[in-house]
Amino acid sequence: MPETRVLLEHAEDPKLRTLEGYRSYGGYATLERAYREMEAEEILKQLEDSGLRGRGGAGFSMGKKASFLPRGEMAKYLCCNADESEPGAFKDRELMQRNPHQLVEGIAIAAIAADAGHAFIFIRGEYDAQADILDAAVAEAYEAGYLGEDICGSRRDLELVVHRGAGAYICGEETALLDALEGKRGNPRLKPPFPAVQGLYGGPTLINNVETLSNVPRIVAHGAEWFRGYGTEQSPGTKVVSISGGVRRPGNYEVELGTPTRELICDLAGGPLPGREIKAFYPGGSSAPVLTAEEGLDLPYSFEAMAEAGSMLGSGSIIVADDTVSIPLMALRTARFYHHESCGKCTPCREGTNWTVKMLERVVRGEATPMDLDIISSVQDNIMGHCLCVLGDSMAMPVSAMVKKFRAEFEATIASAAEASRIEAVQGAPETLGAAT
Amino acid sequence: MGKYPDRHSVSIPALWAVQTLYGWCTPEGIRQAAAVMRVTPAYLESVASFYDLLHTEPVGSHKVAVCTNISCWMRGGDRLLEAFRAAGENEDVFVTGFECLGACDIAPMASIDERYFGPLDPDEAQTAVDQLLAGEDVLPEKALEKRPLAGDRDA
Repeated sequence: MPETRVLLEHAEDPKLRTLEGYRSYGGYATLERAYREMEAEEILKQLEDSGLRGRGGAGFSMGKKASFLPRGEMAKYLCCNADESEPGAFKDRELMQRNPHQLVEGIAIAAIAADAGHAFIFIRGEYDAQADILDAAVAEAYEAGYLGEDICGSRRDLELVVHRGAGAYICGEETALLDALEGKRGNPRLKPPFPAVQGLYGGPTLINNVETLSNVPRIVAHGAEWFRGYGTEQSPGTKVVSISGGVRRPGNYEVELGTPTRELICDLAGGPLPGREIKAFYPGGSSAPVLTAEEGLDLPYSFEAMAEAGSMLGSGSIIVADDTVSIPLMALRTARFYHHESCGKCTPCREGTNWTVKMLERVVRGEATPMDLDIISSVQDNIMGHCLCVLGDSMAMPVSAMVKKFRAEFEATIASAAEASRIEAVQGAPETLGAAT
Repeated sequence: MGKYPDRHSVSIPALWAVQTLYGWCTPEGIRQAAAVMRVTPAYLESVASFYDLLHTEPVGSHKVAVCTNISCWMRGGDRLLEAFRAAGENEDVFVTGFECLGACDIAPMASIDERYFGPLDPDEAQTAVDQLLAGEDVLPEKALEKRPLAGDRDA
């Protein structure tokens, strides 16, 4: 099955990284047209009609989000969320590394729609190489007059700053990102007010993911109908899907939304490693409830199909667990991540992630009882929906799905680990006796 | 600071600058940055302690972060971390396990002086550390930047 490369079109060409290379493929023509001829309303309408859904995780309509910003004279901001930190996701890295100008152009066009005069790319500190690439691209765009004052003679100005984070998953949450950008510890804020009304420095702010903004130039160039020609009714467009874990050819593949999941995993990514079988997978990064192979492989890869199956498309990142992977250990690994990354502001998340890790450790050490599995599930229920942001939910959803769907394996793990420690205790005994005599 | 509408925004970039100059966020460096920003040193310390990449204690001049999150764990990230620890954890090389670095396609992987390498075999840890200390290019054939798109690689 071939990929449908739209965002990754020409991405194999290293010249694409330079302004000259990007322009040789027609880049920045849309920006010039948008700045010279188009009004904010026109761009907004195209984005809304295109049905483009946010590619960062929530899948909210980008055009709608932009339309929530109030009109009128005030300082407004646009933030590009490039803090890609969800385990399993690495698509934004690829897009920024191979085609930084596409993102810069998308930001500049979206800034017209949002009427923003100041834009930021908040990139995670670990992506140092990609931040250098973006810095170079932004400098080139300033030089060419695509950023700065009076862009293309339109009397519109746009400042764009590449801001490096410093290593905190929570900064990918939009309000935590704003706090981090304001120079604070990255703690999420209470919503409402939503950033569209009161965001960065108290001003209306549009926050979008790298992949979402990278889609903007082509939508404005070819129109909403063209974009709707890809994907499904409710999930239009293509998606760069990160596939990793137990597959032969992990990597980023761009496909139309609605492509059968099996083709993604077994065809593009080469299927499971030799002699192994797919047991389960996270369809949308580590915060998506895991689907078993039977449940998930035959679903179309779209926002609606994944939601219907009780999971989510999220950032579009598939992590495949094959039959050699212990689900309780995978649950523990997942929980540890969220425990480490919890900012500590809300009690259910701070305590819930902590206790979930402790209980899962007891499971793998064989010290738990099957009743503890019910307690783990109830802790997850008490986290979900009870915090300022969804970090706690992001642990609770996959962990409770794993306990529910693989309960027998959890119980077997407890029993075999308990047995192993009993054997150790018994075998250790003669030595102790020997030492005593 | 001129790039931002509010001078407080510069706190993370300022701490990065301190870390680049001193190797870690030293109390003296934090005091200097705070004086320029017109905030208290305690404010910058609270910011520095929140973020994983900002070090509030001395670390080696070379940094190796080995990913141990889900995809890398499935592909042997823990063994790779042990191999790096065994190969050269000393005052010049700072080895640490890290949460997802966003490169599950090259699992198991490590970020070596801010550049990504993978997929790595535990046997390569010693080579990487030796090259790092000798000032050579580290595992050039494993650099992420040289990797083609997944769909363009040979099956």
